[in-house]
Formats: sequence, C-alpha cells, structure tokens
Amino acid sequence: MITLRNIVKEYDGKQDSGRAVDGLNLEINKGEFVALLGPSGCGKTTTLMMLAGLLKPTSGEILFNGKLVNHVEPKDRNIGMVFQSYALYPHLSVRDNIAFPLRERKIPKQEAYERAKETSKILQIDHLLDRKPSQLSGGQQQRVAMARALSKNPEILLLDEPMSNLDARLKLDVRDEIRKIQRNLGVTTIIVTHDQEEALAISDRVAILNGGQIQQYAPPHELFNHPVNLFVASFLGNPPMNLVQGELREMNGNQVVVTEGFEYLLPADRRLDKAHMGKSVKFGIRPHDIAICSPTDHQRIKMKVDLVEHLGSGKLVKVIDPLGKLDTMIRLLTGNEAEIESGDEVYIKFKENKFHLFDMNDNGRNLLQYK
Amino acid sequence: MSTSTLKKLLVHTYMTLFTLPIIAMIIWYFLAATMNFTTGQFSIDNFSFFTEPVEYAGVKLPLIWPIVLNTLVYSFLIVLIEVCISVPTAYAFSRLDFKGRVSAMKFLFLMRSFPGITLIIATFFILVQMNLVNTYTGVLLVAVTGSLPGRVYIMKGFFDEVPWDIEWAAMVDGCTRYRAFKKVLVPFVLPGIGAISVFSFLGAYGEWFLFKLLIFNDDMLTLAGYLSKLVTKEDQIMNYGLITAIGLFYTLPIILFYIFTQKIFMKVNLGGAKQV
Repeated sequence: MITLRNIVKEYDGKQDSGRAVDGLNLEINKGEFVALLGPSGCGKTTTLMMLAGLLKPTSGEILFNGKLVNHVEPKDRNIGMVFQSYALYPHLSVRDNIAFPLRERKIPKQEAYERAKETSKILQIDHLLDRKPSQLSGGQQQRVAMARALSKNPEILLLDEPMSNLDARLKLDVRDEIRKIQRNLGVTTIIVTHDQEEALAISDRVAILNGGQIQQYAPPHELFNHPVNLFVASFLGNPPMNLVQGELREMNGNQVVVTEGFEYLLPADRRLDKAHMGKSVKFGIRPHDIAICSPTDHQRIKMKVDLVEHLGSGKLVKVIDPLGKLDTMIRLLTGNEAEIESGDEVYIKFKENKFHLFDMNDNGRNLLQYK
Repeated sequence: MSTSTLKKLLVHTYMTLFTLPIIAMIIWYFLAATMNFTTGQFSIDNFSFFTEPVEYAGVKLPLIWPIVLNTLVYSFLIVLIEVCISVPTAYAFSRLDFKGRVSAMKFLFLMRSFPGITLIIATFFILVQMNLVNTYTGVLLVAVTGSLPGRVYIMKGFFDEVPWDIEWAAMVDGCTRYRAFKKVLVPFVLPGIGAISVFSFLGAYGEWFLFKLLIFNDDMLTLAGYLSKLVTKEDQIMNYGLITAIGLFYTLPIILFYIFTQKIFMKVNLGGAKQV
C-alpha cells in the first residue's frame, strides 16, 4: 500500500509561488491501478517522480507499506518505471536493456538473460532480443521499456505518459495489454496521463489533479457521474458538460435555477438547504443527458438548432436560445435516426436528476451529492 | 546541353580552379621530399634522418626515434589527462546543481576565449618559481590548463544532449548516480569523448610553442618542436628537401589517425530515445 501524506513540492526553494504539488494526500491499495490525471502543470509528473524517489518532497510523508521512504534512493525502492521517451539505453541490445535492472542486482548473467527472455515473451518481443533500440519501431520500443520495468518483478510500476508517443490505433491495443499484464502480475500501478479517455479506461481509480492538489479521487464512473466540483465536471467528458450561469431562487415554495434563457424547477427530492438560495451557481448537464422532446412535455425549453455534427455513432447538436437572451450554446447528443437540421426549432428537456449545481462562491463545489 | 549539366559543369570548374593551388602545394610537398632538384632525379637521400642524427648548416639535432617516442608518450598522456578531467567536470556542469555553477561556467567561457599567449611570460616566471622549467611536468601543466576550458565546454554540450529520462531510468533500475554516469551516460557521450580525444591528440601532436619556450634540451623535444628547430636558424640556409621529408613523416600518422577515427564516428549510433 502506498500512502502520500500532505506532500508539498517547491522548486527552487521559492515559497508558495513555485509549488508544483501543494498538500497532496493519496492512498493506493496493493494491486490497484491508479491514474493521475490533469492538465499540464498540475503536478502529476512531479508526484510520480517523488514516488520514484527521483525528487524529494519539500515536506510531507511518502509511505510504502507503512514504512517512510522519503529518503530511500530510487534504486532501493523496488519500482519499475516506463518513461514517456522510453529512455532505452541506446548502446545496449534489447536483451541487455531488459536484463539491465537484474544485472544491477548482481544476478548472474545466465539467469538474468533467462528472466529477460521470459519477460520478453509476456510482451511478445522475444524475437527482437538481439536488436538495438534504434532498430525498433515506436511500439516495439514501448514494449521493451515495459519489459525492462517488469523484469525485476517490481512492487510498484510507474508509467509516465507511456502511450503518448504511439498512434491512436496502437494506443488502444497497448492500453488493453498493459491492463491485462497488470492484472495477471497483480503489480500496483500508477499511470500519469493527460488523456482522460485512457485514464478512465485503464484504471481502478483516478485522481484528478489541478494546481498541485487532488480535486477528486474516485473510480471512473463516479468521477464522471458525480463530480465534486466544477473543475472535475468541466475537465472530464467529451463533448464537455454544458455549463450555464444561473441563480438559485425560491419561487412559490419551489426551488428554481434561474438563468438568462430558462428557469429550471428543482425536483422535490433534490431540494437544497435554504441557505443556498440567492447563490450564484453554474447549472451543469452532460450532452447525453439532454433529450429532444415534444412541445407538450413538462420543463421543456424552446431552442433553435445552430449546428449538427455527425459523429458516426450519433449526432452532436448545438442549440441556441432563439430569443438570443442566453449567450451559452448548449450541446446535446442524439441518435443517428433523429431528423434534425440547422435552423430547426426544437424543444429540449433535461433527463431527470442528471443535472449538477456548482457553487460559484465556493470554488465551484457541487451542491448536489448524489449517492 | 541541359541546364542541369551546365550547372554541374560550372560548379565543377569553379571547384577545380579553387582546389588546384592546394593540390599543387601537396604535389610540390611530395616532390620536394623525394626529388633532388638539381639533378631532377628521384632520390631518397632526404630520408637519411631515419638512420642518423640531423646535421647541416650548424643545426645539430638528435636522432629522430627517441623524439617520436617523446611525441607519442606526450600526446597520449595529454589525451588521457584531458579526457579524465574534462568528462567528469563537464558532467558536473551539465547535471549537478552546486553553488557558483553559473559563475564558474562564465569564467570557463572567458578562459576559453582568452588568448593564452598573452599570459605566457607570467606563466614562465611562475614555472621558474616552481622549478618546473625544462620539465615535462611543466609543459603538461601549461598545456592542459590552456586547453581544458575548451574541452569541458564541448563535453558539457554532449552531456546537455543526454535526456534526463535516461539517467533517471538507470537510477530506477538500480544504479547509484555514479554508476548511472559510468554505465549509461559515458556510453551515450562516447562520440563526444572521441571528439575531444581527437582534438587533444591533434593539439598535443602539433604543440611546438611550449617546447620552444620551456624545454632547452633538444633530446626532450617532440616532433613538432624538432621540425621548428630546422627552420629557425639565423643564417637562413634552408634545407627544404630535409624539412619536407621530415614534414611528410610528421604528417603521415595524422592522416592515418584521421581515417581511423572517421570510421569510428561513422559507426556511432544514437537511437532508442525519442525526443533526444
């Protein structure tokens, strides 16, 4: 088990201004696959480097299985690491690259080569053992890097954007394979990525980072359906969540979100504390939680179709307020069968209990905690 | 005639015209060494320096073979010292964060651009004080001091090119910092080490000024100094045949060395790390 407690990392010894990681707490269970996801500069790579021991935290504690490892050298941490650039040793053959960590442990050459061969079989690169890294394709180099990281049977596997140099198609294959190997070996794995699709697909839990702090740490479906704040909600999802500026009001005993273009009545089971009334909020709803409805439906909103994009699996429809009062465009997803063209007037409605309300006075905290 | 062949013809004519004087000089060089100009006959008389000490017009120099040995020992010693000092120094400048790194780098750059010859009188007096005049230690000290800043600067460039990932990978794979340097970084910068070795060797092989200044015994000279002794006598009687013959003998190893090292440089491959 890995525990990070109040980790702070400052570069150049500058106070506050240079905090790459700012009070980070994280727990990772044995055998778990965890992704650190966030925009560039969010501190995810710095966190990984501290786990590897290549950087020392300014303050805070890193524990492996309950033991403090802050000052343990990388070589003594029993970790395997795959770098974004693969970082293969160019002067060594693939066999020697994979056997390198074993040879550094004073394992006899014969045995090290034997184990390198076994590992290479798992990654299906045993036919490349005599080549030099420069003679391999990008995908093959990536496999060699994986094999090198795994050959020493590490307790923890660290992956730093391991797939960002692969083409889209190969990425999918490699992704599945990494997941399969990780399951089979049961090695605790931490992946750093900026690709949300990759993070959500591959990991048991995802930690979303921004500004050196964890925004939310949860399984993928929970992050997607129950974002704790505006950052998580807007960062995840493609096409992104619709966010409309509004205000919470009490009207005739009902709680209502009032926006420039529409009023949305909160259902009875989603009533909020009275203290929230009058607050400025962002009303958020994902494109696939909006449906086109009939002109008689309850809580319908009249909109004008601005643009229809064909995504292959469906259509992405962008609608605007026909009166021009709402300056936000709303995106919604429909099936291919929907006959809709730009210029049409349509009625839309929000699927029940799929909306979110983010408190703009409280760093965009989600006021609704669905459970 | 098409325009491309015309273009080619022009380029070739142009290049030939400009290379001709150089080729002519080289031919003259060979002829001067191997011909007796008064008789116009081919002769190897000029190469008698292989077997007996050189002596003409008041110039008396020892037999060449001990001088050759001096040259080789001196040159390889210089290469060894410069590589052993400049490689770790350059690593430190490139990779370590220590106090005064930037100012030391600036000083290094200043030393590199500074014409060392202007310091030579002071250097001489210091060596006299240290009792190092007319010793190889003195020459080595001055030579190495003069050339190290440049070597370190070049080597630093090579270390800067090595991605941090490679070094980190080695450290994760069980290396200490020093072992990562030895096992992974040094092989990575091998072309650089090759380059500075060549520069060092050529510099040392061609060094005559320090020998002229600091060495008074003719039998302690190296080939370059030996050659310079032939041309700097007051009476100005030059034995061109002898000078070119010894010059030819002096140049030959360099040509061989060049062909040999060029092959090494061609073999060097730098792969396995994208985003180098």
